[in-house]
Amino acid sequence: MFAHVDINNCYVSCETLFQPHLKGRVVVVLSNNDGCVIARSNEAKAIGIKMADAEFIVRKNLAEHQAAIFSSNYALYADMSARMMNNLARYTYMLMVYSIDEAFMALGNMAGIDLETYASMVSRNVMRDTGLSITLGIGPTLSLAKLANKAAKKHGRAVLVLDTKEKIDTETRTFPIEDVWGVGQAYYQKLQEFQIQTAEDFRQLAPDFVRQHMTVQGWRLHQELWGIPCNVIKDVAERSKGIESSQSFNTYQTELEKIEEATAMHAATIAVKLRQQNSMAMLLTIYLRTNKHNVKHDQHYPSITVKVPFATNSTQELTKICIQALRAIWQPGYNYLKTGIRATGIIPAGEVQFNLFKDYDNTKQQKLSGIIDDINARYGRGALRIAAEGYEKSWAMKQEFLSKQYTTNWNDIIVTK
Amino acid sequence: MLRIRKQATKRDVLGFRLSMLTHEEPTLDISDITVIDPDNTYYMRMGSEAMTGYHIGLNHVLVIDRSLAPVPGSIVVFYHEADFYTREYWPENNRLLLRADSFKETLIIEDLQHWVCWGVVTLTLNPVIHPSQRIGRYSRVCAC
Repeated sequence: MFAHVDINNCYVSCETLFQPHLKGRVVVVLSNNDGCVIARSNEAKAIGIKMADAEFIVRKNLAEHQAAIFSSNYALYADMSARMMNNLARYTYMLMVYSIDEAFMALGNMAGIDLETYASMVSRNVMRDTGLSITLGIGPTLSLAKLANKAAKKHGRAVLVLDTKEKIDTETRTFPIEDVWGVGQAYYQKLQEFQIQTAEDFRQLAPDFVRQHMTVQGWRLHQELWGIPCNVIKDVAERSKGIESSQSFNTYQTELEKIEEATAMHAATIAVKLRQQNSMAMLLTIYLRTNKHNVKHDQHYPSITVKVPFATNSTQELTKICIQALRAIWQPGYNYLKTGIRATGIIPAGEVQFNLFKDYDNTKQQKLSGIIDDINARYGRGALRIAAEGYEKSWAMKQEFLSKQYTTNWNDIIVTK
Repeated sequence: MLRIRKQATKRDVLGFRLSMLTHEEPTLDISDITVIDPDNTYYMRMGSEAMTGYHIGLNHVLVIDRSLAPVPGSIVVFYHEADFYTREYWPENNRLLLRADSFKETLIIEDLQHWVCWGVVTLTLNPVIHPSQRIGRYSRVCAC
């Protein structure tokens, strides 16, 4: 049996943990640059605030309900997520962290233990220890566990166990097919053609028919919904095949110098992520975006992909290459709103292919990057950085409603009376 | 997560190596005895002198464990009417006393529904370094 666990209204819950007076009020968390709503309290959902609503569209509605608005405080959310995952790991022999607020737990056979009681105990203890409420869905496969979790939320329950054929049949009969894990927009449209509305409708299809129309992925999902495990819990994080860092500017940027600073910052972020997973990148895509919603402005969406001479994860080298590439695509006269870098062709750090015609000595770069990482681990992210990233960062994203970093910054810890 | 990190740096010893190095044991780490459950430990700062009688002075750093349940006599951090407080937990018949040095600073909760314990204080950090020595890296002693 498997459990799928997620934190209810994760970002909002993290904010209200340290500001309990906001419980029961309309609370929303905005995306980077305070652009869209990415988390909502139940009260915010009740007044019609939708996921990904633009802030300027719902501003009036939020003001009318005296909503508490927060900018994304990822330092806080990441810390609370880590605490949550470490707590969950106490109740399983294998935990797979699926996202910042979701995880799968392997529960084994649990002979003689009532799963409902066990899950309720986990929910209670986690709430006590972290202050964050969770929902648990339990099923014989990962897909059914995830389905159970969503169904639990629909029924307003903290725990839902699908451990018998009858319970699975009952839930799948009314469960919308578009909410099934793994059914994206493309599969949904295909299934609509065959009048498939619920998970049960999908289960009733012949396996060969599913395989023919939805490849092996669809077939696996079909098997899983019948209780036959096809996906496994991976307790070792896989290497990312692509790493991206991007951000909108707080205002339109026309100067190359400012965009270079942002590009250098993204290059540094990617370099750190590569080093964290002990890998190197061979391909870098640098892109620029104007605001497609502003019809008064000329539009320009250039991008360029460069192959590096040697796969690298050095902050200095990546920054140098990315800035050179940026200069090749930047054009004056455009109001750029966003820049980003995507690293692909990612290989393990020990598998660099040498070049017959070019010397390769990475020792100095590795040492330097290691020192930068050590200093930043001790004194905080960005304490030591390459000058190309700039000092003032006047282009940095808008975070007007940022709460304090209660758990990661000594200057921000709460003062009690 | 705020944790007490080991500040010592391991350096490779070149040249003459003491034979005693084979008997090396891990060095003492203060977090072993101060932070029992790191995943559920938080830090706050005392912002008043309401608890000096309990040896918790102004600006002391509070180490708070959320996984502990309060017992009579525990020092707790709780949230009440838009503020966090540090007080002694003292339940009585039909009411809860959250005691401080003086009765004026003591809170009486008649309706337990309006009271939420945020965590139990396991330890306070009281910096006693002389002000004249609070320079350079020593300015970081309990600074927050």
